[in-house]
This record gives sequence, structure tokens and C-alpha cells, in this order.
Amino acid sequence: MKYLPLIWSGLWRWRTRTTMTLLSAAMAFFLFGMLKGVDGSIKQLAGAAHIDRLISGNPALLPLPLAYLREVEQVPGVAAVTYANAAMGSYQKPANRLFVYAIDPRQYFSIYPETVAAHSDQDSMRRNPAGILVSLSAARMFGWKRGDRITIHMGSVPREAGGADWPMEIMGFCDYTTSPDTPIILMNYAYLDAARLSGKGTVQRLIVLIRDPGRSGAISGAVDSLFANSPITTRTETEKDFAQAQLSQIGDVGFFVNAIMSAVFFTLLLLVANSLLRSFRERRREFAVLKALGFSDGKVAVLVIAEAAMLCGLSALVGLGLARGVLPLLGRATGGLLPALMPPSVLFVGIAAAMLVALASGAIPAWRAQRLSIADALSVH
Amino acid sequence: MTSDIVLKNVVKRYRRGREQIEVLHHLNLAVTAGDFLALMGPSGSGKTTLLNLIGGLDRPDGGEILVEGERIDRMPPGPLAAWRARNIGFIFQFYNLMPSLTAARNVELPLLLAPLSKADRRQRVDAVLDIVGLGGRANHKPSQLSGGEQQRVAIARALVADPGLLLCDEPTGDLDRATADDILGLLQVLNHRSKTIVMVTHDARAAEHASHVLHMDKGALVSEPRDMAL
Repeated sequence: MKYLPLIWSGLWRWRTRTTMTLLSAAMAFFLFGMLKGVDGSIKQLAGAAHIDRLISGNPALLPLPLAYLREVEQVPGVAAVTYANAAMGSYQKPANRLFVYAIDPRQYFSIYPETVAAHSDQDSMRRNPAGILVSLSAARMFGWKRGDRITIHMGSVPREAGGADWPMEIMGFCDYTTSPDTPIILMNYAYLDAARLSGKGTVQRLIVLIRDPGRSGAISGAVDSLFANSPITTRTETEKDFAQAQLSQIGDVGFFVNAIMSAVFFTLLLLVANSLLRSFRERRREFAVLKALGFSDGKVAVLVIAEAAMLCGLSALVGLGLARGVLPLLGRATGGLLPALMPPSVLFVGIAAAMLVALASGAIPAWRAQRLSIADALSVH
Repeated sequence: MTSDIVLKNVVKRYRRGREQIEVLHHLNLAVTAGDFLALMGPSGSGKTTLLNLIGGLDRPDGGEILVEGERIDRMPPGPLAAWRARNIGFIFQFYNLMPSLTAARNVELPLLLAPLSKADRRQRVDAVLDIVGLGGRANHKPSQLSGGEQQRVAIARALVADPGLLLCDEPTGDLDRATADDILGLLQVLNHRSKTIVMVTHDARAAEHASHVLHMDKGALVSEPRDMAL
């Protein structure tokens, strides 16, 4: 700690240059925080998948007859079966997007305990066909209250009566704990199925709760064999595998993030190294004086590295802090389509990356400072 | 009389391209404890090289350098740095202060290497700043001080770790006459307080403040060293 004023003053020897370098590096860490934040949040969502739930759907994404549900319920090891038809909806204007899940409220909450709703609200929803539960984030976002009558536009689910505007009544709220900032609506499947133009009596997929996760493979096989000779076959897999397959459809996000960040950090490395080398050249005499006063070669090298670490550490704190503040705004701006959280691991990885950049970029000036000849450096005016 | 500093047959060469230039030729010198020695001579005569060798800033290519009986020419770099911190105070012509540190922080630098508390360091810094007459300028940066004041800060920095030997390289070379006399007066006071001083200077008036004067030319002492205890 006693060396801190010395390191700090060295860092700010040329204020403008240090500020520019710091802002450039902070921007790189901001980009890192945003990309890793989105990637990490998506992975976190996939990681939250339950191992005692199977997802059964058609490999070609054709809708499944709802009648399949009764047959799957009979498979040994199956505890319960439900469904959730997902569609994108919008409120008042296209930018106000939210997810709409058409569910069976009698089964859904026992199979999805992470979606929390009061029993009284569940009952109210069951009693009113047009009744819905809205997530707390959606209620906050649109200022909804219990008893509000709203209209949600679902372009992909046209109504038999014409148009795609669905009148609904808010019966209560739910806490979508897996992704609290994502705005969602839970509506009665029966209401949707009765009024929609096409696809009646079908669901996108079945959700199967099993008693023993260790038997997921056998149960999946048993379910699929039920419909092997049907026109609509099924492919059943664990929720985790399903989530990962969904993610792979939008590409290997992690690979792209890592590729972009490698390029960004390589550029950052050159930028910081260049700045530190210039600073070292201009301050050779000052380092020589420190050595003359009794600072050892190693101590002077450590001071140079510490300066680099302070520069990179500050940049990381500024950049990652900014990303942490902006990510929720991005989440809100996309109506919850992009996850809005920065997992703590991104902060740790960011700081670790900053220290690696500091070590790599500070290595050459530190080595030169260590080898600096006092007499030579002091003789140059 | 015991000698604080003894140089025996010291040779120093520099390489310039393919050529090797011998800047000190088998030089012998002894400086007794408490002496105030002025080294004079024309540019390129080897004065600063000699001062650097005595201070352990550079190594000879031949001969021996003993300071209080220790062979500093054989010391490895780490112990040599620690030895400098304990025993030597340097005063340079261009002050060589850290421009972004205050006077107090500049003076504190050698104390960072000692196992002292923050309060102890502060106390010692305040004490030496008072000695050099800059008690009220502790929080000023070098750019806010005159040349004479900056040199006083440099002297305070050289004194703060209480070394026995002060090595001064043209300490008044960048100052006007009146300020130079102040600084030289201060060095005399320190010498009377038992500091051994070796000062390199071009200036005959500055050399008058020393108790002994030696002249160098072309890498050799041209006036006979006194009190040789070889």
C-alpha cells in the first residue's frame, strides 16, 4: 500500500494519454461484459433446466395431437404431463413485446414450481377462460393491475373470428423466477384452442415430469416408441438437452463471443503495451533515480507491472461496471428477449483477463526497467 | 586516519561501437570519514564516472572499490541496491525529482524501502524538510518550486534515510550564484554534522566550500590524492 501514491502518480504522469488509453481499454471491457453477459445469461437459463423434466416434440416441429397426453401419462415412471404453447405477443405497439404461454393451469404450476403464483390467482385464472396471470416484470413494465382488461396482439395465432387481437383479463400475478426480467403472460390453453383459426387440438410439445431422473433415457425411449408408427412421431429428451439444442439453432454463441473477444483483447494488448512502452521510454530517468535511491531491479520491474495492472484493472472496473448497468436496459429494450443479467462469473473472468493483459503488456517495459543501467539513463539529458 | 572510501587501481572502460574507451586509468583514491571533497576537471575527465562508481551506480572493469571496508564492486545487484539505500544520498545537477509527486512524497521515497510506519516516515520527512528550510512547502509539486527549492528537496531526499555519504553531481550547476551559495552553505552545514561529501563540480567557487579539492583530467587524478591509506 505504501507504494500506491508512487504507482498512481506514475500512471497519471501524462493525464491525457492515460485517460485515452483507459477509455479505449474500458470500451473493450464494456464489449466483453455485454457479449459475455448475454452469452452467460443464456447458458444460465439452459443450466437452470430441470433434470426431472422431459420435453417431447416432433422432430420436424409439427404440432402434436393433444390426445398424445393421455397415452404418455400411462408410461411407467411418468408422474405428470402438461403442455405450454408459446407465442410472441405485443401490447398496444409492436415494440412492447412479451412471451405468451397457453397452459393448463391445473397441471402447469405443479410441474413448473419455478413459476410461482398464489393459489387464489391460479383458481381465478381457471374460472375465467380469458383470465391470465402476468409476470411481475410485465406488470411493472406496462403498469398492469389485477382486474385490468387488456388486448394482446399475437400475429402468429390468428383468431377464428378474424384478426389476431386477443382480449384478456388479468386475474393475478406470477413470479417467473428463472428469468425475472422477462415479461410473460400465462393464458388458458382451452381459451386459445377454442378461438384460434388453425391447429385446434394440438400442442407444440408435451412436458413430462418423471419420478426418477436416472431413468430419463428409458422413459424417453418408451414415449417415442408409442408414436413410432404414427404420422406425427415424437423425439423426447431432457429439458437440458432440449435447451441446448434450441441454443445451437442460433449458432455457437460462445464461439463467436470468444472469437470477437480474442481479437479485441489482442488489439487491447498492443494498445496498452505501446502506451506503457512510451511511458517507460519517457521516464527512464525517473526509474534510474529510483534505482539510485536503492530500489532493486526487481522492485522497479514490479512497479512497472503494478502500473499496468492498475491501468487494466481500472479499465475493467469502468467497462464491466458500465456493462452491468447497461445490460438490464438492453434486456428491457428487447422486451426480455435478451437476458438482462450479468452473471458474477463474467466479472471475475473480466478482472482475470485484465490482469493477464497487464502482465503481458507490462512484461517488456518491466524487463527493460529491470535491466536499465542507472549510469546510462542518468547521463542522458 | 581511517578511510571511508578507498579506490585501488580502478579501471573503467566504455564501449562505443567497436571501440573501447578507457575513461578511468588505474585510479587510486582515498576519502576519509567526515571529509568534504570537491572533484574538479573538464568535461569528459571522468568525474561523474568516478562518482557513479563510488555510489555503486556503475561497476569498474578492474580494481577494487571499498566503502567502509565493504567491496561494493563485488556485490550482487540486490544487496548493492540495499547498500545504496542505507549508505548513500545522491544529489544531482537537475534535481531528478518525480514531477507528479509533492515535495514530501519525493523526500519519502528512500524511506519506502525501510521498515517504518507511515507516521514515522511522515515525522522524518517533516524533520528533513525543516532542516533544508522547506517546512512550509511540503505539499508543493516540483513545478511549483524554484530551482533552488527543488535542489533543497533533492538534498532532503538524500538526507532522509540518514546516510553517511552524500554524493553530489554538479549540485549547483543549474542555479544562480546566490542560490548556489545557499545550497553550498547547506552542504557545509551537513558536512559539519558528520556527513562525508564528495562533490563533482566545474565551478571553482563551488569547490571553495569543500575542505579538499582534487583535479581530474583524461581519466586520472592530476593533483595528488591526500591521506592515501592503501
